Amino acid sequence: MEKKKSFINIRVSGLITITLCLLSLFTTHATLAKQQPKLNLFPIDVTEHLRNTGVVAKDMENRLKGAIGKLENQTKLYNETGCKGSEDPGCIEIAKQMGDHYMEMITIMKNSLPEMKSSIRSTNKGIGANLRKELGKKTTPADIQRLLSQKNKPKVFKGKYSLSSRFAKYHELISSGRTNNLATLASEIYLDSKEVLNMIDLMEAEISQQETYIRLGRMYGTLTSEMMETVQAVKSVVFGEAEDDSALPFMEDENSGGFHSPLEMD
Amino acid sequence: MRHRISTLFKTLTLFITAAIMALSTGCVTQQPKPVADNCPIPSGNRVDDAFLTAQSTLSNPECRYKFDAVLNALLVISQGDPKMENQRLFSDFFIWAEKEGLISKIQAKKYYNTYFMPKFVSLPSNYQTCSHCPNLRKILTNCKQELKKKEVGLLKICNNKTAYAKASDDLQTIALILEAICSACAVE
Repeated sequence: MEKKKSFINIRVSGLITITLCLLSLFTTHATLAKQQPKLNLFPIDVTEHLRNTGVVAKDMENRLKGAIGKLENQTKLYNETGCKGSEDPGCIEIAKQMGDHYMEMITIMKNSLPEMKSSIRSTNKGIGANLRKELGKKTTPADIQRLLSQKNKPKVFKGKYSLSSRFAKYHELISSGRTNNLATLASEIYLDSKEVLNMIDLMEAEISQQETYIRLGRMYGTLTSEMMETVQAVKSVVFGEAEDDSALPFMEDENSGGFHSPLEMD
Repeated sequence: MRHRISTLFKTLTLFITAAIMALSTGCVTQQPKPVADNCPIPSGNRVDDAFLTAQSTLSNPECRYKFDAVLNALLVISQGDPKMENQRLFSDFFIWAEKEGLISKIQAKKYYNTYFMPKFVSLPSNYQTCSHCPNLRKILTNCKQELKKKEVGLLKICNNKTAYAKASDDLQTIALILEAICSACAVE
């Protein structure tokens, strides 16, 4: 009789334990399901590529700054002293120096762009793969709006700052963990790096064409309008445009004016 | 004989005259009966009255087909008195319409969220994002059309600038993210 009683007790306690385990499993699962998907968009290798791109870009900028600065000063002097079309030996000397500085700029670009390109390509490839895996295949378009519900909206850097500042800022934001909107930031970096890669391709093609012109001796002592355009293009891609940071202010959560309808969708 | 013919002629004349008079009198005095409008569409400027008319009209089984016309009228009238409370009136109206069987629960949610929430119902909630990339332009066009409806609901009817700004801002960011994802999906 005693044995039977203790057997029943064991069975009851066993049943209770199993029920509790199942309940706890169910609760954990429900809680996890309610949580937002955890995105792994910036693994260590991608973050490292970003940092490296910033460093390489900074190095190229420093080297270009001097050459472009000298070129611009001499172009200004050439135009202000009425050298255009003049056969004056002084003017011919300025024009020759302008040509030399232009060549210097082109050489720097030619030497720096492959490394720059390789670094940006690695960043672009790494982020692209993670965007595809984490967002493209694990979320629906409707989920994407849910990911935006966080308060901090990342600032947009594209086109506003120099390449090195942009990539340094991207790297800083990711490593400091100051942004919640990783999806937006990853998309921004991915599209930005893709655009920069296209620009680098165009620049390389342009540089190679200009080198041929110069070698063939078709540069008649001064810079052609195409060459000036190249200088401007290099400046806008590498150094960016000086614009005010006009990130939108954060809007407080007053979207429904305090009223919540049972018809609201998750 | 002549007398009989004369009497018959007089009687006939009298009959014809009486008939003409009766006919002409009838034409003058009888006004056309007004046709009763069994399905009035809400009109005027008073929002509360408009919702009452809407419910009264749509309660009539013969008028159920006028749901869209009634809703459009409510959306127009409410713009004349923009306030947050209008959101509740529309929510109640859609819940009522669903209970009356005029629209399904999914339709009720779709109507409400399209006009009165920053969330975009045009964004597909099934299948992975990569599979929607061939239709990306269409999805974004639908979202832009939905944003116009949110402008009516959130901004012009509820005067909720914050919520409308969020919807507009979200759409820009969603477009950026979808463009990046689809560009990355295309690489594979």
